[in-house]
Amino acid sequence: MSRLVSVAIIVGSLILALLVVSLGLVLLGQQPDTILLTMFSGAFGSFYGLSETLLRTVPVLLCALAAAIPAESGQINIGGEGQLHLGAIGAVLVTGPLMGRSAPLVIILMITAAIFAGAVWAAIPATLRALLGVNEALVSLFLNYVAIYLLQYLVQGPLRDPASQGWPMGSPLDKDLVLSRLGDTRLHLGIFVAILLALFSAAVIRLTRRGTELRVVGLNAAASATVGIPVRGYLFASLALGGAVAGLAGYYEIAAVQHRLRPDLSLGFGYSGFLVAWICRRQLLLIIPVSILVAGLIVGAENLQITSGLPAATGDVAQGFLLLFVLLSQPLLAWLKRRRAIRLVMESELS
Amino acid sequence: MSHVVAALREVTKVYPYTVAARNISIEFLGGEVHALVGENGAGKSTLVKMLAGIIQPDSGNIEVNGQRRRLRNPHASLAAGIGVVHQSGSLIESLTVGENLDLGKIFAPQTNHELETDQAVSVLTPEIPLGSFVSQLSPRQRQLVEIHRLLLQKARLLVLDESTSTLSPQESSLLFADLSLLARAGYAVVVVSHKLPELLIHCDRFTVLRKGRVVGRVSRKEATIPRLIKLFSEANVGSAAVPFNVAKSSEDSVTANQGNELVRLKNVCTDGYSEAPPLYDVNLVLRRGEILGIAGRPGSGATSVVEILRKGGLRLAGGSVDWNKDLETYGSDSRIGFVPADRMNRGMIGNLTIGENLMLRQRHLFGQIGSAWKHNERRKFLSSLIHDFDIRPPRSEVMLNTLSGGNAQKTLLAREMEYSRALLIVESPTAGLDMGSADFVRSVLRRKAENGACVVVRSDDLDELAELSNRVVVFCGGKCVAELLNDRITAETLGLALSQTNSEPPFGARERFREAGAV
Repeated sequence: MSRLVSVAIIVGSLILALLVVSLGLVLLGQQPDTILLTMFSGAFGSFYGLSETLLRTVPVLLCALAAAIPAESGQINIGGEGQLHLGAIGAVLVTGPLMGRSAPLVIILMITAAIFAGAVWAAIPATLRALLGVNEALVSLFLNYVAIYLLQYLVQGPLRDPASQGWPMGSPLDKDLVLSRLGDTRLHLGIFVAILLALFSAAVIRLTRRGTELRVVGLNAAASATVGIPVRGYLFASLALGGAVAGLAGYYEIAAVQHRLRPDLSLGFGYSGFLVAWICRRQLLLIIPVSILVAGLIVGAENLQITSGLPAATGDVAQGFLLLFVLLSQPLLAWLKRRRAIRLVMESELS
Repeated sequence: MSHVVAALREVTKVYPYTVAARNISIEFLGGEVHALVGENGAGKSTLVKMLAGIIQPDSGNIEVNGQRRRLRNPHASLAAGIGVVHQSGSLIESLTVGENLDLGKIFAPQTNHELETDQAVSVLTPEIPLGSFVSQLSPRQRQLVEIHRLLLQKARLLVLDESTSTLSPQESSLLFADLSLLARAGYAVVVVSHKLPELLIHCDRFTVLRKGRVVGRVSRKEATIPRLIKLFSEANVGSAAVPFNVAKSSEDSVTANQGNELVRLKNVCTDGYSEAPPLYDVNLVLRRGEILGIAGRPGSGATSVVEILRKGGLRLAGGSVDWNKDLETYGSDSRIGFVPADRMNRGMIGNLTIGENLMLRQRHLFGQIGSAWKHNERRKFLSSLIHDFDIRPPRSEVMLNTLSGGNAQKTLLAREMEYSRALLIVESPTAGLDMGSADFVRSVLRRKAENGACVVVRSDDLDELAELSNRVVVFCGGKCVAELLNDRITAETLGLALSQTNSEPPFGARERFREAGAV
């Protein structure tokens, strides 16, 4: 029932968002039907488009998990973007001292470092929240800027590639550290890892004791404390875990897509992931299809930029309206629910 | 002179699971100081909020000067001529008195200083210079500034919500003297307060509320404290017929149990810094086999005692708590059951199923992944609890927030009964329950005590305490001020014990403890 309502809200919001975007396009003198069709076919209409969409799905899905896992404990992690950056930085930093070691060992250490760096970055808001009650949404959001500037500092200073002729970018990874591609697409095995991770998280959160306790903390922290659940522990652990998953996204962007540190490492995947998590609202399995959808919006908008000269930000606008309409549906639902509750009480009490 | 300034006509306000006001009609006359009295939860603050425009009645309406008015928000209420002085106050501390008064004018621009010629108003202010900062004023002076501002905004009905609760007795009689002056000048004044003795001296009319209904209208001549308390507690004739003395154990059994000491609080003091009000030098013994009632108004420290007893992490500033060896272990291992008054926020989780809520204290049963043995154990655990406590619907997979208040309450009680061993603490156990459910809950609690546990009942409902307890301790100002035993416990005696004690914290008590090295 609840899942059905969620799906209905997402579909309805998507339609409304596309309508608003179409209206904007009409005002710009464009033909919305052809534009939207271009976006759709760019993202899903061809084998190559589909592979690009799945490529973008990897960071979006992982960052969605980074927001969704802490959301189960009632926390808001807007810091996926920064945690992704830290994961990328961590993965690159360990390659330096390990130059020349066997590739499998270095790859394992890169993944570990990325996960660890993302978790540490998330541990900052997590510690402040669990111990002092500081708002984790603000702290994690602001740390995004710190992470982005940290990356810029590194690629313009200590980690700049001497061969880059002045461009701010890091040295390229060794060839054997680059992840192999599937066929002649840019897609890599990370897509399966991301999907498996999403399924695994959903299973742990829905089906195990720890997962249930995590949800209980998110539903009612005061009652959880009353029955003796370690609330602070769950708050910290879930946010740090979220950061770890975002860090893994950073690793994949480095090892499979960019092959080196660049200032434009992320196309706002952290924010897109956050949006996906909030659209899906505790329906963890919905995250997978919605991530693909949002990744499709990103790829479709890139396609738009190439073919019709509209800015890729068109996709961001569509994403923004999608989230806006989903969020607007929440108070509407709550209001309907309250009306029903009051009517029931009125009928039974005053009859 | 006594025309109707404002009136409530058959107003009803419904919240999910409770009816806060049921067809209430009250007229507020000019020239009178009108007291709204009743226990907590009687509906006083609901009526105040309606008059203030904070909430709107679900049915019925509010009349001002004979005209039906819809008070959509506080601004509309003020525009209609209703001024409310809220308990928390609405002055801005960092501004001067004059600036605060000007703020009032901004929101009612049509007024000018014509009122300054009004004699009734002029008596209010001479002692307060307009240039002094609000932060420097005494609580009573702040009330006067608030009232003055409302008068400048042309309020004809003044509502004071618990305004005297922070005042000393001398200050509050001065405030009441000013209120009488206002009444004599034709204003209607409404006072909401717990302090019956001073209300009896100063108010012209009393409306007694109980569980969302008007149960008594008493004029000044007829009003006495026993009479008002009788109205508070006994208006519901049906429930008074329950033979509650039968189930109580006699004096002998209490003395027989004296060896079974479970917890002893010795000279316990706590700070007032946390949310729990402070305690000063509390001595209390809990024994096996008894139902101990704890009474006390908000801020009296009764809730702090509960926090200590349930090991809720409230730190002692002085004194000690001796736990019997059954309760000595820390944290959740001591198996102290606790049913909080705010059930939905602190006790249960509406968005989980009945089964998940029942398992919150037995969390090893959580999770769908596990051995067949675990599934079996869970099924047995849930079905026996649901059956024993007659939770309806008897299906563990139903969401808790679809249950009636009584069944949700039974679910919580079932969980804590099953979990607790030697000590069970319940707050307002029968609040909001129908007769049948309430009887059931009472019998369950009595059985728990008979089986050798100590049951602590904290409640604002004096009937409830009287019906259940073998012994009641009354808290006031952070101290234990009275102890009643067995047959001496009635709603009337409890009401008297509560109303005769001053609810101020004893002046300088904290300092005295500090000197004694206790803090």
